[in-house]
Amino acid sequence: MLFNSIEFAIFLPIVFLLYWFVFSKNGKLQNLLLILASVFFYCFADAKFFLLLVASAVFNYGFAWLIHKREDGSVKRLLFYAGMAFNIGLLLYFKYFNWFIDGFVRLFNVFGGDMSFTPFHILLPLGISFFTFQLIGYLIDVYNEEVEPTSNILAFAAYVTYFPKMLSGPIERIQHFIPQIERKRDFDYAFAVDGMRQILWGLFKKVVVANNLAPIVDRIFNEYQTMSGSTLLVGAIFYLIQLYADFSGYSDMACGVSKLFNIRIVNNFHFPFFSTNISDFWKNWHISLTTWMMDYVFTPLSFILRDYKKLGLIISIFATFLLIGIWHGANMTFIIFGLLQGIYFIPLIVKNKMNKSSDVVQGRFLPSFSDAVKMLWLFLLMSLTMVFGRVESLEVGFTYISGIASMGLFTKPAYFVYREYIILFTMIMFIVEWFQRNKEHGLDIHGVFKYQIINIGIYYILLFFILYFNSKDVQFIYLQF
Amino acid sequence: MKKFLIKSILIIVIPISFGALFIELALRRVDNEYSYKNQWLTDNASKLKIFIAGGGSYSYYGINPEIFNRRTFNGAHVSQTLDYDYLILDKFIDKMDSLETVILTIGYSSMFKQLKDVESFRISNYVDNYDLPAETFTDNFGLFSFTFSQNIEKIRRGLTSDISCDTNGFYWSKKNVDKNSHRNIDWIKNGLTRASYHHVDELNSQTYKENSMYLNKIIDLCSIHGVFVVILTSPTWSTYRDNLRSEQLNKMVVFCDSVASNNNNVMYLNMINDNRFTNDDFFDSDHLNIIGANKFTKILSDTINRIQK
Repeated sequence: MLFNSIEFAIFLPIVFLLYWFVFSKNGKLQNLLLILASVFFYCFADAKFFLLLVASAVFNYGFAWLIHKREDGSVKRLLFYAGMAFNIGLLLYFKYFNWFIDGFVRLFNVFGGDMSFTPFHILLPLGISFFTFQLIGYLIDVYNEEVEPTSNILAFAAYVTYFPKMLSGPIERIQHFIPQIERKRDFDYAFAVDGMRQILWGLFKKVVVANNLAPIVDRIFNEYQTMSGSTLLVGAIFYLIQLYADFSGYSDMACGVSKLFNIRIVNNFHFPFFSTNISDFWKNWHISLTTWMMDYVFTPLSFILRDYKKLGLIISIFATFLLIGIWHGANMTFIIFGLLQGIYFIPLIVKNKMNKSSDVVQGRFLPSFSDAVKMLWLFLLMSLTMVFGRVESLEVGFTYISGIASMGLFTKPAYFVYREYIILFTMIMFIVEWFQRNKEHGLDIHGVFKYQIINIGIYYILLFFILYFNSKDVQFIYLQF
Repeated sequence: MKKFLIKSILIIVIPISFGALFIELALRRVDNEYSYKNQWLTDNASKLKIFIAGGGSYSYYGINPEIFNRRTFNGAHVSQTLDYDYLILDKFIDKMDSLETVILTIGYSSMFKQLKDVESFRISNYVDNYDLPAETFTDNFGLFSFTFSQNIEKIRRGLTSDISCDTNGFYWSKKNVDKNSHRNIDWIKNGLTRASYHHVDELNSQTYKENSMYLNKIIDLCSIHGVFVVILTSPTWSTYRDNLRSEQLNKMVVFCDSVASNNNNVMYLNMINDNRFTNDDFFDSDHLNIIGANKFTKILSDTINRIQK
């Protein structure tokens, strides 16, 4: 059940009405409804792995308590490692098993072996990367005594299964989520209205921008060998925009839906294209994954390697982005993607600028010339790097990039990239987000216009575009992770 | 909460519901090729001698009723599969008192696909216009079957009487085509793409069994009414043929041959490799253009006349 489907348009109002009118007596009932709705939501998408989700939740709930109650450090550590092994084992099996075995066989054959391997047909459970990372973070926090395990089973189950974030995140932290759902939620009019606006903006980005860019991007990437350098460059740029509109659109919808239940979840994107350096970009792109990696990988690793100073930081950042790359999938292309990000950080680390946030875009109507150049350069760099997130093999990725770096770069791009309305809507998206960059989302227009009729007019215009430019059955890109 | 609900209903639910209702009603009232063909058959079924009962776009684009010397009507629609060929014939055959011949095109994938699996959004056209049964609840509504922009375009075309077939139900003569022009497409790539689209993995699927049943039902229906059935496989261009899987093609051809040999009222005409057709006769690698359609129909007409003499 996609957020932009008819099924969800029926499902959401029903859950909303039940939540506020039937199950509104106390927090437990509200959580119970959220769990039931989430189970339905998950099973509607893919019922095969529902038991795996339950098993994972039960296991982590129990292990968190076992770790918490043990005074003996070595037993505690053993339990923690067992818990981590379970979670990482799940990921390794479902996401990386074939990749590891295939890699092992290739390596074996390099050294004179003669082995062959037929990949196993392993289905990927929906949302496994997201819910497993949540639970790994939970175990680490309990082990480090940064949080106490929750005794509220209903709240914990709601945390694991909560349908707005179930399939594609955000990777929500328990210390942020549980306090909100341990108490009874009362209806918050302003929050709910803002949620509706955020859903509308997310739908616009997903349906109008991302879905209409998808066929152009698909065509360029599928026929890359016959495309000119300029068309390939347009393809790389369009893919980055598609990816952003698709995933940030999804995240806006997830946050907006959650606001209808008076629960705030992390907004995964905060206008990343208005960043002027790579560090800021990653602070604003897939925020929940990046902060997770920073907290659980980069920070501990850089602490361990603190004696090596800048070299230690460089190693830590490479390790972090290598993991971010691998998190996206079992393919060398994602490893190259991660390593490239690490390389981009080196100048910042060398110049001690990694943690200096460049507040370039704050409070200005337009960026300065140098900031505009930096933003454009970063955008171009990320477009070229994201090619490795889109292609199926390194060979294709390098052929694609070398295709851009050819004389064909100075020719006119292929005719089919000129779909005026796509360019127009992409520009609308960026212009609106530029002016709203200090807000939570693009349509956070509370109090902006004096007359409410203007707000309503904007809603109808967006709604018309969403309906008119709706193209059928384009999946969310991040559902595959 | 009350304020939120009232505003949601006033600003969102009521306008969208009225808009949706308006579009659905408009879709049901305006003309299209489905409503035209249904109406034509309702009014003229008794005068019909030759009925092109189906075969999807191969028949719709490839057989021109005007070429025949007897009253002929093209009842095919794009992507129409055997199940709908049967349902439409079943609906009208009792009124077709003068019917002598039914023509049915069977292509490379016809035995292995059904509308509900490949292009289910088209089912609402049959439900709305032919009163055929819906497969799912949403098939009852054009609104849910097509995108908003497609529905707006359908309404616009209906309001301007811009339907895609001529009075005989044929596709090309309504199109503004230059009969001497040759399409500038990449024929190799087109052949590969079209063939890939028509490949199936499972040759003995339930769909194959059901389609065999529908074809036999069509033949039985015609047999009861004393009607001759011509099963055709229409000409294709070499770039398409070269990319077909021999197993799938053979299964289709062997089945059509066996049907023809087992039934006295059936003839199978396989023209998939017919070398009388040159590249100038094709719209794409597996569809004829208007020149090819006229040529193909003339051959077909002569063959039927010869056999039925």
